[in-house]
Amino acid sequence: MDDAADKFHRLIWPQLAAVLRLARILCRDANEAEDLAQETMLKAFRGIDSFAEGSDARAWLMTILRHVRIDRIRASASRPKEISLDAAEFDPADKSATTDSARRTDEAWENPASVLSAFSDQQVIEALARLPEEIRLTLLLVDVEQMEHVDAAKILEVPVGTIKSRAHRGRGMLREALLPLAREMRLI
Amino acid sequence: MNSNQTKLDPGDPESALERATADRLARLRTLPVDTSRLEGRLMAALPELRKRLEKSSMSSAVETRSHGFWLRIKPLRAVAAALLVLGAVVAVLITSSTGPAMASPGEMAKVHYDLIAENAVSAVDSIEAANKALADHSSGASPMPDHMMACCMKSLARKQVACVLMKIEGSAVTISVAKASDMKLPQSETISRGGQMYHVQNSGKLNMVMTQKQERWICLIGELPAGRLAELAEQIRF
Repeated sequence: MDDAADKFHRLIWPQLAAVLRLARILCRDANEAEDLAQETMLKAFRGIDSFAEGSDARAWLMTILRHVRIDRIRASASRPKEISLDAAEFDPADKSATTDSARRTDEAWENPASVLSAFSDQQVIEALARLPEEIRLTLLLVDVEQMEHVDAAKILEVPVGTIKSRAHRGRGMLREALLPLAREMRLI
Repeated sequence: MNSNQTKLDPGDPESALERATADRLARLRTLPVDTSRLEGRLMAALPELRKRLEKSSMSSAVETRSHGFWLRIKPLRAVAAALLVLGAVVAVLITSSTGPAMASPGEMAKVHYDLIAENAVSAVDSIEAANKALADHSSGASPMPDHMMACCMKSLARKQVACVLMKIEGSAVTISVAKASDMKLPQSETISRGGQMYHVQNSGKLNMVMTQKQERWICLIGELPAGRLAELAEQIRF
């Protein structure tokens, strides 16, 4: 077990903050996020023998985190307001990437970089929380964690094209979710 | 920037929207998180990990000739030696008249790449080299050999910082030290090591960890994971 602890300490432990951050954005509630991150790290520790040295530790952890998250959601029947995994079952690749509503939203953004910078992290996280789970997770992997589409596709077990379309659609949905706040803050 | 973003056309309004949204999301990567409570919970659940972490924190103080352990401790000792050199340099730093400055990740990345490009005289790739640098320093009347002093000093956010380029586990790591009163810590994600908080930032492939201790601002820059950089920083003794 000493070898396993050593391997875990060298390769996985440095990713602790990344795991907790992702959990924090996914869960909103700090305690729930910590539980998710803890369970992810415990599973990683128990499965450390299956992790090949030299491969991407962060991607491996994100895969575990996603599975833990799905298990926890499925197990918590008492959370009717929890996100629906079914909501992410669609593949926007074969649809118009943006809805009419999103298209109208996009027309409102004249200086998007400046407006988006005005939102606090918490406001962006709250807007993200309104998106379907798998779309949110796609944005977290691709835009927040800056993972390659191909790596995100492996973690989410979908084709690369689906990742691209989810990322595109997710960004539009995020802007749509932020639009009322932008108006309230007189940013646009 | 990762290759996901390279296909966006900056002249296309939709691409500009996409880029702005992706960039705003990317900023969440520096969302501050305090891992100390989670670390405690994990160590309570995994005693074997706790033992490993305790062993690691003691490693700089323990001398052993055990081959495997020696390999692990060697870069840590090199860090300590290099920092003793930097400590001497910082002792002669001139405090600037203006208030504390904040170095951007881009500026720090530039310092790191400049040192690599300059094939810095102070580059240390082994404990022997670090010891030699230390010996050069301690035997001379001046705090540092002139050529090393010149090489070590870099301007960062218009402040003078002392830098040493090291090779740790095959990866270049820049260690920068300045007076704590000269440099601010960023509002960024933090990680905890041995009770010390380290602020984490990144620029491209480079990770950066910053902290203040013993009235010094310390920054480690490299492609190693932030946790590993913090672990190295933890070994620093002035």
